[in-house]
Amino acid sequence: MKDFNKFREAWFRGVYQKYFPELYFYLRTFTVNETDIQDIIQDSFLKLLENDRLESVANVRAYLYSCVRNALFNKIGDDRKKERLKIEIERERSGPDTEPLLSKEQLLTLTEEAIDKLPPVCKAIFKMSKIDGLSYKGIAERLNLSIKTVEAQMGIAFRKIREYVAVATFELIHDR
Amino acid sequence: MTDNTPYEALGAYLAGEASKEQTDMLLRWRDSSEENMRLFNEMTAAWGCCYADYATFAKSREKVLKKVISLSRRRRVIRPLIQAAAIIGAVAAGFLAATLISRIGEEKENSQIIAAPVGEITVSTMRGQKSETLLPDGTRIWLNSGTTISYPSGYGTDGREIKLKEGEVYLEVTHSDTAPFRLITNNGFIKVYGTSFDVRDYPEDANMTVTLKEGSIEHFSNSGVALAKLRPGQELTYHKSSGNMLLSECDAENQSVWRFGEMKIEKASFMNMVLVMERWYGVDIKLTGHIPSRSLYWMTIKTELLREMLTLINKITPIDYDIDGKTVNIRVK
Repeated sequence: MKDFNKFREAWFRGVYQKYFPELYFYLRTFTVNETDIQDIIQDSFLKLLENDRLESVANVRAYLYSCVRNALFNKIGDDRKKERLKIEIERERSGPDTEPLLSKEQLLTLTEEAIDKLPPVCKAIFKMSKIDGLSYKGIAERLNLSIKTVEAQMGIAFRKIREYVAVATFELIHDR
Repeated sequence: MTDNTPYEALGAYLAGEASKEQTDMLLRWRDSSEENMRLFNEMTAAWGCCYADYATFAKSREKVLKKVISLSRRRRVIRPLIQAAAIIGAVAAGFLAATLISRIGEEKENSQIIAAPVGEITVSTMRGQKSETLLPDGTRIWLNSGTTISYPSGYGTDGREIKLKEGEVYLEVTHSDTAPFRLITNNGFIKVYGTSFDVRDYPEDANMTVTLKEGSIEHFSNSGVALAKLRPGQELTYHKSSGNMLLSECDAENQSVWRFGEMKIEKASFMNMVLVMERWYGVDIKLTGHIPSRSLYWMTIKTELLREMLTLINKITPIDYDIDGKTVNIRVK
């Protein structure tokens, strides 16, 4: 590793500010454990810096993502999520990323507004899945519903969130 | 127009519940058009960021950055540089301590101490004022604007008990194995084991919040039923009328910077921001016009005067305002 000099540090800070948010929210789609998220991101950036020939890391973003995914794979014990991650590792290239229309903060506000407006049962199911990390089976048992119903309600939740966000995005864009 | 988006498969995929067929179908759908790809990415992002708390995010961002930089530096930086940094640090700390002491000196005059006949001591601050009190056992209490607390005159000798009647306090409780400390609020009491924490319970707020910076505390109902135990960096929100509680991660330092003469507003709606300003400046704010419901505000108030803050807000959200003694009229344009 080269000296961690001023220039290298400045370069690193730029890279960090640029990629931290997306890595953070990407990780949050798999886990809500803040310590795990911090550890994984920290190790990934350290790996990037320890790379002897930094210049040869052509695509920093792809490099970071691959570090994050590998670390995540070792960390999560949940087979269902591992399966999902495997697919994403396999499809590394996954086509060009489309530019998002909203900032993460706007999306966060809108999503939470949308969740708030969901019918009660639908909302409860969504929260149990997202916040408590319960499996469909676990939710079904708790609420005395069938797994099919849980699945259907999750579908409804996503459809409603999508519709709400789409309408609000349209309004936000045309407000300006 | 019919929406043929496979929402059920999408939900199952993100929740980690999708079957092989569902996943294959979903990914085929995703890759079949740019619009589908966008929707997929947006929903994945929404799943990732919902219930994310901005303060937690910002805290993690800074913490990891510091750690990575210090780990990278430690491996190669030469000693003298570290020593130089230590000296600068010590000088800066000395300066900070000096300003703090002088400020605490000023603020003492803001509070009124009334000795009631029953042997109860009451300390209160007016709206727009803050103060700090030191108790016989070395416990420190900061009182935010519009706050009243009381404690028995025998405090420290026969038990340690403080009542928060209304408002917000930050406490640094001296550790003692023999004398447990209790903070009694209108919504149950908090048992303390030597710690720093913040409690906010204004009558006009729907919630009481308890934020723990370090140590360990436990919240009990009035009748003594244990309700929740907090770890450092957690916040307990207690909905007063229903008794519902929510335990969440938070930036405990931010919650209590008011004691250093700063006020941080994070991810607040327009209404919440106005409520905070009312307390901070000790004024009544009357709102008219179309109040923005979807915007969120971040700001830090240090030494800014009320008029400066209003000018600042006007730059973000256009408003008309006039100040009439203790009343401020704001009309959102």
